[in-house]
Amino acid sequence: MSELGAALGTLRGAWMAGRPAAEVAPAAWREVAGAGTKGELALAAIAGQALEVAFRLRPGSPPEERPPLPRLGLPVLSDSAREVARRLMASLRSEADKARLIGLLLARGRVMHPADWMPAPGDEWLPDVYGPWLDWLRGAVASGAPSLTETTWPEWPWRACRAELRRLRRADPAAARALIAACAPSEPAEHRVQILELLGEALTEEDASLLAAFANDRSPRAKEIARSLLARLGPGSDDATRAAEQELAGFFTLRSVLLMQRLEVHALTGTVARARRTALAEEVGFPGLAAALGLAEQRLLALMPAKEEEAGVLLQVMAAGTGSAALLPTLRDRALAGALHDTALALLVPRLGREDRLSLTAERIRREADPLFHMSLQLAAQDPGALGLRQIQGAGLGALLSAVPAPAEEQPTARQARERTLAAGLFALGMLADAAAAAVLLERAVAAGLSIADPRLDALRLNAMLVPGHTP
Amino acid sequence: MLPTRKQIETAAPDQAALNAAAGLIKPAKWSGLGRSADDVLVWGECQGSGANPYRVVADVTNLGSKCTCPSRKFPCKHGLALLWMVADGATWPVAEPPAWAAEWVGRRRKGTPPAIRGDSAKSLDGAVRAEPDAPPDPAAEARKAAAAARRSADTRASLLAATEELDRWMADQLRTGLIGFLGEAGERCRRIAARLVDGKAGALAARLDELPSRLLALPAPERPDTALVEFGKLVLLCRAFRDAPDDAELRRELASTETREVLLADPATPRCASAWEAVGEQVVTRRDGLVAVSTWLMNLRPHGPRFALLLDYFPASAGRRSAAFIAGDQFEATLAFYPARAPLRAVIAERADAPSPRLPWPEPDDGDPLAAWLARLEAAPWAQIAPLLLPPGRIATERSGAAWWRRGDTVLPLDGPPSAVALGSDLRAACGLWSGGRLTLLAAQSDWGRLDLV
Repeated sequence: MSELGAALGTLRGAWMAGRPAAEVAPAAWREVAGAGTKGELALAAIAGQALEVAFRLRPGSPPEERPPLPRLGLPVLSDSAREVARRLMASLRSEADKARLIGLLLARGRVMHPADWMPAPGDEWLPDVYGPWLDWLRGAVASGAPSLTETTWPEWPWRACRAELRRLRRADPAAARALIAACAPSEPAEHRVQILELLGEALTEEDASLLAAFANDRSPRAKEIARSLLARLGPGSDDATRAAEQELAGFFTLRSVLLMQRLEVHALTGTVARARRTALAEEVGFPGLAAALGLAEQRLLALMPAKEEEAGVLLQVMAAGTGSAALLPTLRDRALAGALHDTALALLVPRLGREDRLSLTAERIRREADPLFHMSLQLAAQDPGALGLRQIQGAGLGALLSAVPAPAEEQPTARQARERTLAAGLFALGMLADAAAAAVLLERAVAAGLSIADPRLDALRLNAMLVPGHTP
Repeated sequence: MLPTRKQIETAAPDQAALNAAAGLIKPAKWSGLGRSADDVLVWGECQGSGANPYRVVADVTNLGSKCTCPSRKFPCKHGLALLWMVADGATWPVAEPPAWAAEWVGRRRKGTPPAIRGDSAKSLDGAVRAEPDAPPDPAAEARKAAAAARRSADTRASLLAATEELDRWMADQLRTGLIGFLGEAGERCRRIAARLVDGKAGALAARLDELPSRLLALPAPERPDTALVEFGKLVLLCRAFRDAPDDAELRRELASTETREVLLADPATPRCASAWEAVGEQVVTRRDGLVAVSTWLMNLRPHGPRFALLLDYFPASAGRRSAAFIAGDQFEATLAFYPARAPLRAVIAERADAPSPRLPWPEPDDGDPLAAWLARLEAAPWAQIAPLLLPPGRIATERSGAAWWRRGDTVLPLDGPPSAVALGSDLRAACGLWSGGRLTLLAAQSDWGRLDLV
């Protein structure tokens, strides 16, 4: 320690204990400071300045710099769009709404600027393009390995691994299957679930043996996904599954009346029977049930009770979730005709192509007068910002715009409800409309009485700024 | 539909508000005037008596308005003046409403314009009618001057006594042991602060009042030295004041700040016309119930002080205030600095539009990042804070989580956890405030562009 440091330490010790520092101060300091109370204060002034000027705090352990925050695979928003996106993101409370905004930006080829918003390390709902940020937040160092193999798997940060696995699944499904079979079992449950969800994309018969290996996974969610995907591929091949299929089929009777077949639903004897039927429906796949009833899937679909009946809902959900790919066009047509229960619809839509999804969403908007576009938002989850003005116009839009002007003598609770509807509905429109429609809707909202500067118009404003192919 | 003069008269809380608004309907008092494309919103920034300009936005269809001034009248004189200018036919460029205007629109509940009452005693014409000057009364003037001189002498004596009292108090803390002081800092500082307020040393009292929270924010091993450093500064401040009790800077450090009007009227007030960037704003609620709003400006040109501080105080009861500037705003302005050995605090004397194109930050010096702090201490050893422009560096963290700004072997401890983007960025330059023991980052230029770090 330096002489100065030692002197200051001695003075500090004296003052901490309440002893006069003049007794222990260096002689040169005493001479300058003088004696008595004024002298003590002068020594404090000298010591204080010396501490501040001559000494600097040092870290207790060597500080380490994080690796640079990686660039994502898409450009960030421009400055003008950033201001709106920042304000909008700050106003969103639910993960679902944040996911919608992120999805809209992604659809327009943009990502958030990290100074405006960063995810939390556990935000697994983010699309793959944000994977590098999630891995960085978790302190996972990017692998230098050239490719993802059984050997290099442990070196890959999780989100990078998942994105690479998705790419491999499309490019070389057999290689992806082999890698999953070798490496997935040792991953934590959360990762096994995500891997199995990947298998749901472009599912084929060749995935059956891999899925069978996860059919008894120790994670209930992983097990459920594996069994659901297996069920889509056909009736069960093991005794237990076949027995369950037969048991579920036992709740129905196929009758022929004058050359017409009918599927009769047995009356349930009580809550235990109802619970058992429900549990079997979750365990058994639609192809398996059809086979147990001696019917083709399409035939079973045609014979199903109406969606308003409990058994009808149950069978629709089974068909939408585990029906084979060949069933999808028929289910889509039913949905367009309004004959599919919402629960089944929610399972069906992720399995359809983009055109079908958008048609269903537009049809839903046309049918409903919901100013919040609640179900439409769910249906359009994979296709944000894609609907044209003609597809959005309808009773729901009319109901929303008519909520803009405040009625005379409005009660506070009614006003709060109206303002919540406006905020949620305008956000929904911003997530549903394409850029051209968003610009028109923005004008209509202002014409209805909203101020152009109203932050509730931010979703539409941002959408209209992000014209595909243009730099905003 | 434009507001009418009758509507403005009706909306005004009283004639005094209209009289005050009359003084503000000159375009020279305003900057950043604009209107929305639908001609519903108008806005602008008006330089009031505070250091920061007031932001005013109004809805011309129903005379709703919002202003960042601390007035409790509604609408305030700034809102009235803005609407008055519109009613008299002023028109401004159409622009996208600024974010602070959008924030108001989002929060407000629209009402209807007030009904016009024909017999209103309030009058815009009356507000602009000049009152005839009273004839000069030499005897009254002499009595006023004598009273002012007596008050000044009384204040001087009170402040000198306050410095002696503070010296005695500090000596007592040292004599009885800093261990005891650190254990009871809150109570002890509160008591001496109350006595200093009685002695008219309000600014000194506030400094003592804030000391306990400053100490508590630090790890325990750092508190004794921090207390010693602050005592040393106070000793030097009190001595300096006793040696020069009429020094304006020292008066400001002990008592109160001269008004903006007095500052601008003094021909000796140092001024600097340049381009400035708002690098950060801090809003702190003090123990005495005042909210201190500090806006830090950086000079983007090579002449004049590198930094300026616009400092305003509002009562906490006046409610939440909107920021006077958006971080990153650039504008041309002449700042008038409060005279000081190392001028920092200032007011905006004149303001013009933003420079176009945007100006880059000045190049930071490559030497000791604390050089500006040391220079400030040499000029004013009682100074508590100094703004810095730091050279390229990065943020690094210890295993414990403590964060440091680092450039080579030079490290400066940060006063709080940095944002993720700051941790992962190459900071090409950074603005921050050094308090003698901790660095508060305000903004940085980085490989991700400008970062707002407050």
